[in-house]
Amino acid sequence: MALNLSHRPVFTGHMSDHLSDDGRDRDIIDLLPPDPFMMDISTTITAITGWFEDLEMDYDGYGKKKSGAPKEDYGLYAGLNLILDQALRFQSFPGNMFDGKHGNAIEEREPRGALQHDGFWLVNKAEDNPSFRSGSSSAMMDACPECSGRCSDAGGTPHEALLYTLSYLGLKDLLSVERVCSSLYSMVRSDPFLWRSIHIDKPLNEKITDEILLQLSSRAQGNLQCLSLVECPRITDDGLKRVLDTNTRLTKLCVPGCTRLSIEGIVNILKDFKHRKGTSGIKHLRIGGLYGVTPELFEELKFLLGTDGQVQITGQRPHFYRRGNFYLLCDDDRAIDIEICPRCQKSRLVYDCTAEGCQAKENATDICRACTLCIPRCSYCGRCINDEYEETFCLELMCSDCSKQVPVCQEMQNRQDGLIENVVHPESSHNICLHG
Amino acid sequence: MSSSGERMIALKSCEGDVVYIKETGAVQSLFIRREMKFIKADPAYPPIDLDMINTATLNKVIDYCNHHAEFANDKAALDSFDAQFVEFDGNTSLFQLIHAAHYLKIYSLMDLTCRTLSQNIKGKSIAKLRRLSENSSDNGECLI
Repeated sequence: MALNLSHRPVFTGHMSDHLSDDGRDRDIIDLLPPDPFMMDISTTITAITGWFEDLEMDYDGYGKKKSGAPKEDYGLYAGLNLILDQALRFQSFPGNMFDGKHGNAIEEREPRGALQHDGFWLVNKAEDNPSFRSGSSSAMMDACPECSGRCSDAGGTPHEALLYTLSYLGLKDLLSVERVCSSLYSMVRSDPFLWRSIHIDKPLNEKITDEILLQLSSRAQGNLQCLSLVECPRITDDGLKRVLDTNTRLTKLCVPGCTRLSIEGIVNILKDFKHRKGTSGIKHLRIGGLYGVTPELFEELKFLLGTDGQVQITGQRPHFYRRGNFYLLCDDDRAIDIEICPRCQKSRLVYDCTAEGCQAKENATDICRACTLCIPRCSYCGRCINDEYEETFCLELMCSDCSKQVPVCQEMQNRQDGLIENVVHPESSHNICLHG
Repeated sequence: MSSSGERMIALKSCEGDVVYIKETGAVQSLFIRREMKFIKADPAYPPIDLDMINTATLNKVIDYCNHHAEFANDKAALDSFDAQFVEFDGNTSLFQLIHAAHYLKIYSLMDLTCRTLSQNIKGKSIAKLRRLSENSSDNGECLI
């Protein structure tokens, strides 16, 4: 299929061509061909935009009733798939990643390269929404065209062994596995113990909303024990409250870096939760990265956690400032992650020092232990920075030793790789944090 | 009885082959441990019928149990053995091993094999997982 450029030339090089009949400058949009691939694109984009809005509401794609979409909708979605697959067939991506089979296009191409053409913003969206490849989220359940027949040809339902492995998978992988076929979907959905501990980290943290969080937490069927949301900017106080309203067995709540949450909101949520019948209350709270913790609120939080009368445990594990370890998470035993900074007396995350000379100090006034505003630290090694340092592109500090060892381009690559890195926590099965 | 005088427990695979495992290795399996009192009471106790497990997988399981019994206190040796153990030569499958470990209730082996399988699954896109499951046979080699 050739580009349909016959109707309008894109670039003419003549000034007169850039002017409309009344002499005004014509916008470049007016000069572009309306439908270069003859896809009836306006209708297609309208339908797909609406479908993505529905997907955004149902994060996992299966939040709607299990009976599925009406058959006419399934036909539309199947048709849309066909349109986009055929569109992909005639485009070559950078590095020629596309091999012509529609099953390979989405997951084998370079995602960044796919954004370059207007017609392929959808493809990049599909990278973020794996269920797109299967057409309508709910229609997939009714007819799994990719693998239903093949699964049965390969020996019936997936091996029992996979069932035992599910508890070792992170959230993102669980959500992928459940989309493979209907029997795996049943396996994942039917086991509430897989969802007793939910941990959302990069890259899904950017995408999760209140509604999606509520749906995910409902999979635990009231057995949710640990909820960890790391830097989830779309979670609100109201959304968090709804999750706690329906999960009375929650004991660990980690919301570091969730900037839409307020400390007052968290205090109110914990108060309501503690006074609710049947709950033992939250015992472990992580709010590092949230600002506005006044001394009164800090005391109130400690009271709600039941630690206001307890002396700080001196044998607790040191917390070092390092990329990927900025926040304390559920695997630490502390009731609350923030504490009074020894230097500024503000309630913040306090870090220990990795430098050998600092660890040997015993005098309380000399101990190298404070918040990062009082003692700046290298984001690579965690040591205190007293002399030369380099501020990275990501506005983190790097000490002179680390800046010599880590080239700038490598630092950029590490940062990009970190965006898709999952944090792994060593927890036993059935109580494992699901990372995604 | 083995040459060292240690009692050997007979196990019969689904293919009808009888294989032997040392008693010290066998007790790692809760399933076999429950049978132990009957085995000790009756010298002519027949081989334990394991009709869900094939011979190759059973040999692998026996190898694992015997090794873990022998080097129970040497964590480094066990770790290096475990790392090599889950590298398959294609004759035995990870899935069948998980199933055998579950059936025999050898939880350390279950943990090792499930972690290995989860590492193989991690990060794969849905299309790849589907392609792999399309290619799966009863052996379950697909997800390696």
